[in-house]
Amino acid sequence: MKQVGSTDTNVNLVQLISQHQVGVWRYLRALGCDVPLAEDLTQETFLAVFQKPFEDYDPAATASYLRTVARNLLITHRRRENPHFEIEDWQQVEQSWLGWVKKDSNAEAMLSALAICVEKLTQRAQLALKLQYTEKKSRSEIAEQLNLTPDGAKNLLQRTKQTLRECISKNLD
Amino acid sequence: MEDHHDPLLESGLEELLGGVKPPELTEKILQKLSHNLSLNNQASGVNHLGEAVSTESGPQSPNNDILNRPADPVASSSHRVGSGFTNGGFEGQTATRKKRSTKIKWTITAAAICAVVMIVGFMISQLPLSNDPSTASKNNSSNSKTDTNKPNQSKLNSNKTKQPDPDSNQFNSNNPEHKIVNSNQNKEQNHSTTVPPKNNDTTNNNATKIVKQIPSDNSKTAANAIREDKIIAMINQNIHDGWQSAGIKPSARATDEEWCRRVHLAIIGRIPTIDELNRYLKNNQSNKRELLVDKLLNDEQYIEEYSRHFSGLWTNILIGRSGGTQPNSLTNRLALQQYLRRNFQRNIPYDRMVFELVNATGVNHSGTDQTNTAQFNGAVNYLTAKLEDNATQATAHTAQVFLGLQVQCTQCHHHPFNHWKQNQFWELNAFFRQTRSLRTFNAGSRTVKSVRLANEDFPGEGNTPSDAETYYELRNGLLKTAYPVFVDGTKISTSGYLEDVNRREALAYLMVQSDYLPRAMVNRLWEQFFGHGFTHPINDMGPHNPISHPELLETLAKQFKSHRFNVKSLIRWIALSDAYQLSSRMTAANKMDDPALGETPKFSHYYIRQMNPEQLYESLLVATQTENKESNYSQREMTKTRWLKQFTIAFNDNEGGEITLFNGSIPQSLMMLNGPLIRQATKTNNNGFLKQVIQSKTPSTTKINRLYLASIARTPTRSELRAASQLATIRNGKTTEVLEDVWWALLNSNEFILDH
Repeated sequence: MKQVGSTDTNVNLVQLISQHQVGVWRYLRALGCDVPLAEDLTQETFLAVFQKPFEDYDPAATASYLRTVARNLLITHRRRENPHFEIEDWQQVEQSWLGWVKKDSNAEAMLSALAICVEKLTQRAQLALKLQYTEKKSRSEIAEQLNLTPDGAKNLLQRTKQTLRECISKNLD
Repeated sequence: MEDHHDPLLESGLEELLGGVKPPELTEKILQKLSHNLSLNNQASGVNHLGEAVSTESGPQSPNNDILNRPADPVASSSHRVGSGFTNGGFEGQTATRKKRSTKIKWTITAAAICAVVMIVGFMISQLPLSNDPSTASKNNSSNSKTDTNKPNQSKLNSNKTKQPDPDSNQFNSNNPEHKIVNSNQNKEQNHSTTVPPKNNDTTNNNATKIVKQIPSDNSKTAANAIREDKIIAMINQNIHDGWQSAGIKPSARATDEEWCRRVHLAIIGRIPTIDELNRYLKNNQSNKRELLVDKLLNDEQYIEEYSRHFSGLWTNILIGRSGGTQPNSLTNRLALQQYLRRNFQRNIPYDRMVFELVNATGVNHSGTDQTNTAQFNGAVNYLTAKLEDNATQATAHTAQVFLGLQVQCTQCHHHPFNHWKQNQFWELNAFFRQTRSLRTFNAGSRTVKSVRLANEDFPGEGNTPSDAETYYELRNGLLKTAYPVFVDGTKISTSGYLEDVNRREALAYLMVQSDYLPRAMVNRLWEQFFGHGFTHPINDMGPHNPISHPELLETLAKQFKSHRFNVKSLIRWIALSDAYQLSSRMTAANKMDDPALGETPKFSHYYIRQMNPEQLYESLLVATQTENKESNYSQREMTKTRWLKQFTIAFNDNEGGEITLFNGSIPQSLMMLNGPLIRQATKTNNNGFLKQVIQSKTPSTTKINRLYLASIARTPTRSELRAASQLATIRNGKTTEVLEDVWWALLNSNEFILDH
């Protein structure tokens, strides 16, 4: 059992932050934060946690704890504008996270699996994803470029993402 | 094609393809941390050695011996007393000290106070821990864990700085402040909620073995069930004793007209038709009241109305008047109503109905999908919308409705008025944590197509499914664990694996076997018939809320259980009791019996109250005969729901709160006075009741009598007849207009709208 900040330990704050900051950031992004907010809340998460001595029993447990802190900070932040704010589907995000991230608290394995799976897609599917995420095109623009109806473009993207999900799950098992 | 919104995948794609890379934040975090620490130290007026420092001190100067501050930023941040941090490895930068203008005297006083607090905190921190996490065995989980603090928390709270603690305000009760140690060598390092396969050594020796039996399944009436006439006699005796001890005398019996109207409203939810009323009045048998009750409860012609009335009542109890009416609701209101209607049609025992509602699984919508149709279960709609926020609403509502216990305030603190503790709420809540509401969306949209209520293995908030704990936060910020414990103290297995224990099923069995269930139902049904239950409110029973007739409640509850939770039997006992026969007119000898003034009810006269909106609607349809007989059940209910919507505001809070505004407000008055239903009812250009009366070849007095009987179940008094004839004079003898006026006035009168 390691207590962060104690004189008897080799674990220090730097190591803890390095180990978990990316995971917390990615988790906040999955909860719908934009990049600046995710960055701010990641910092606040660690600051909040380090208000008191923190015992790092287990990396996965610490990661889970940090995610909970981050989520609550997001809720607090949003409730400043909307007192009734609730995060939609956070349990679904949590389940997906635990299903894919497993031991790797920073989700690097998941990202790597995603990259591999994207490579395996058809050219058309890759192009659709690139148009949506790299070039930030709207659905109608994607449809036009791929010579599809908007519904067709939507279906293509949905099928592609479903394929990615299955591929990632297979890769991570 | 179903659209699964997958935010994790979306964010991954944005990172991979969109070039949104995670930032490097270590330096920034450490800088801010260092800054915060230095601010803390300044506020406490101590330096790193715990010595009081002058806050008037300026920047570091070679001559400032008081500060004794070295130039090295690392050393200067070392060993913050009271913060609990040591220097081990900390590499912060020298904080910039701000100038302070407070006087030395105040500084020293504040520093002395802080030093005392820190010394006390330091001493507490040196106390040995009561639970050494390194030796705790997860597989020997006992219920003492419910009271176990997480290690290393309590001693440190006294060392907290004056900065606001984000933990206590921002974290919900599921936030583990510290990870529960997992020293179990066999624990699998798998934190997915595809929960890892369980070890076979997940025994929990302290768990009670659940008896999987619903009491009413035993087809024989229990040996201690007494005859119904004796039960009614016992009710009468008990109530009578209450009058005697209060020194009051009951009112006279209600007239046959009043009583006939009252019992129709109570059992089938509407006033009697003229024909029904006349048939009853012409019956000369001495037991005609008993015959009427039996007829309304058991005759084929009334079963549908009885089941519709009670299913409507229970739908409102279970999901509120607004439940399932909002767009994209997770609740299918009609499906729940259908389930309840069938239950009441078949007179399913109450405990079985409760078991099915609490333990339901399946899909809430039959739709056109074959799989959905096979798994369709209307009962799931009780819980589908109550599982958010860790099923706190499901917990509070289930306890309130079925057990008569208001526990929602103990979510955050001990109950202010009774012995309920915060842990008991979360222990009850733990029963719901294997349950999920899984949504399916319509293709290409975010509108909910159907919801599946399912049970899944629960890994626990510490990710140890064999000992699946949940966390909740005390008001002082400490976190505690909770495992499933029923309200009577019965403990079940702490495992989160369904294979070991289906928590919700266990809860359902415990509920139907407990004594809370029949008591709560008796109290509820008594209130439904009399206007007041044995406690007020009826869903807040406990030592803090005295029962008006404790022996009566207890006996009725036992007999209700002994008679296999037969709802119709209970209705019969209540409706045939002497107290239910009494007039609503108060006398000088019992005017003090007025619960509206805060008195404990004695039931010495019938308590007048307003009809509920559903009763009013049905009664208007019956009185005016304006119902569209061609519409099917669903269409009819949707029309009714639309009419009723004007009377309800839902709060959309996490308690599922709503209020019914059926209180005579101006909009409602206008709706009654001029709304479409009344307008239709008072028209003479359709085939409604009014036209029939007008066209009948009877004297005017007879016609007026008919209007009175149809609406308020009595004939007009002499003064009322006089008023009607004066009206005829004003209207120049135009009978149609006179009757329209009289009819409109009757339907808008207090007497029509009141249950008396």
